[in-house]
Parts: sequence; structure tokens; C-alpha cells
Amino acid sequence: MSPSLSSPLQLKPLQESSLNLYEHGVVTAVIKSVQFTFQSYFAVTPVPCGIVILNKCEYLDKIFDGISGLIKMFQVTHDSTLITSIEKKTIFRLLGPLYQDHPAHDNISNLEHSLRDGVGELTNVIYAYMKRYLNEKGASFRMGLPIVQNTADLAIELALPTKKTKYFSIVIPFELQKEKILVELLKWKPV
Amino acid sequence: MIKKESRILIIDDFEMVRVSLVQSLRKLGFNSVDQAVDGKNALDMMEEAYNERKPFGLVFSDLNMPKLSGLDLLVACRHDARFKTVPFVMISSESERQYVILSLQQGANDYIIKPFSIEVIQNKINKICEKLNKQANQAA
Repeated sequence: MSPSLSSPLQLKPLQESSLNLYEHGVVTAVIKSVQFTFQSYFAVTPVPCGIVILNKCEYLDKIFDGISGLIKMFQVTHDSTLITSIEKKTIFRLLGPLYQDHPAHDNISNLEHSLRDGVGELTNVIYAYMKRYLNEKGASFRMGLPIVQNTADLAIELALPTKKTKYFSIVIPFELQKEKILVELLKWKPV
Repeated sequence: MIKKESRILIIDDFEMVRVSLVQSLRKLGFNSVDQAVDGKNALDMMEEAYNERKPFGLVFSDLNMPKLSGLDLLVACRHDARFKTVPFVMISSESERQYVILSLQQGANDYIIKPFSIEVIQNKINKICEKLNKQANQAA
């Protein structure tokens, strides 16, 4: 049974999850990459809260006013998508100081474009760091370009019943000063 | 030679990177900084600046961009007599050796891995200046 939209995520510690060795390695790389990226850009360290494995993207509904960066993780045998979803208020708090010179830097909606751009760049750097980490261990992930969507739109798109492919996703929620950042590895399965 | 009044061009499809680099360069005393969103945009700006006799004295370019990549821009510059010698620093989140080597082989003066600090920018500029000085002294 998939979790209901209003229920909290059923998190498990990484060690107790049913992930195989490959998935375990990728999740470890994601955690290292997210922490490195946020530490480098904002001098803050998001704390992973565990993982949850879903067959649908219903969790995304929980940060409906968010921005999601998506990047295709191309590899010979494992094509999947890395998604980083961040609430607008969180990315605004983090990126706001960078836009002090912007005429309306104190308003989320005026900085909407810049915030979307920021989530795209963060996704790009998270993927690049993760890719290097895994490629050094024998993987062969290739370069990708991120795209950015509103999290709500992405949630609807992934939940559409007409979707001709199935997927499962490994969701890694991070806590950052009581706010949530969700990083997801989405694996497509052809029907 | 790169001077504080030199014109600097930053090319990246992500605004966050451009803004952050502009701020770092300003803190280092470089106030004449322009921005381009991709390689094609950059090439147009470089031509315009050259025609106005105010050419760019240093270029920071992202590697992976839509339209015209940083590598394609670098190759175009190195094959154009007007931009052949302009100091060119590649910036990228790609840190694998192959990208660094390829960029240097194509004529980049240096390579910076994102995310970067203001100290890294300062060090890279110093390094390029030292190299240019050495070359100028050897030629004299």
C-alpha cells in the first residue's frame, strides 16, 4: 500500500533498508554530495533523516510550494533521474543574501526566477559531485543538464495515470534548520 | 596583463554562479564585469567589445552550457586572431580529469571546480598574471 498524502513518511535508517549494494552506494554518494554542496555554498550541513522507498511520487505533495531540479543520470545499465526538491521559503532564505543588490530582494515572488535558477545549479553540483564519487568506484555516469519545475507540477506529472512507464523511487529527506529538503532517485521501469 | 580595471566576462547559464562570481570579483577590486548566459551570447559580446576597442581582458566560462558550450567557445576563441590570447578560465562542476585535461589542451589558462571560494579566484588570477609576466619577460 502506498502512503497516503497526509501521512508522514515512513523513514528507515539506511542500514536497515532493503537496498541492494549498488543502490546503497548511490544513496551514500547522494548524502555526501548534498552535504558537500550545501556546506560549500551556504556553510550549512543538511542532516539526512533516513530513507523511504516509494512506488509513486506522492511525497512530493508535502512540499507543494517548492522548486524541483531534475537531472538525468545516464549510465550504460542504470538510467535514472536525480530530483532535488526544496521549499521556496528555504531556498529564498539560503540564496537571499546573494541578491542583496536586486531591487526587490526581500520578496520571494520577485526572486522566483533566481530561486529556480539556484535549485537548478544546486542539482547540477550535487549530481557532478555524486558522479565523480561513483565513477571513481567504477560507475560510468555521464554529464547531464538539469531542468527545473515547480514541485507541484512535477508531482502531478508523475502521478498521471496515463504515464506509460512505471518507476520506484528512493527518497532521502534532509533536515536543514527544521526545514526539509527532499532528494530522490527515481528509477524508470519500462512497462 | 590583468589589471583591476580590465574588463572581465563571466559566462554561465546559471545566474546564481554569475552573481556569486561578480560579487567575488568586486571584492577583489575588479569592477568592470559583464555577464553572458551561454557561449553564443559571449561570442557576440566579445566581438562587440573588440569592435568598440574595449576588449575583455579575462574570461571565466562554464564548461557545460546550452547553445554553445564553454569548450566550443574556447576553441572558437583560440582560432580567432582577435581572441587568441585572451586569458580564459574554465569553470565547471565537472571535476574528472578528462574535462580538465581537454580544456587545458584546447587552450584554457586554468580550470576551476564549482563550488569555489573567493580565495580560489584570487589564486587563479595571480597564477595567470605570473605566467603572463614570465612570457612577456621571455619575449622581451
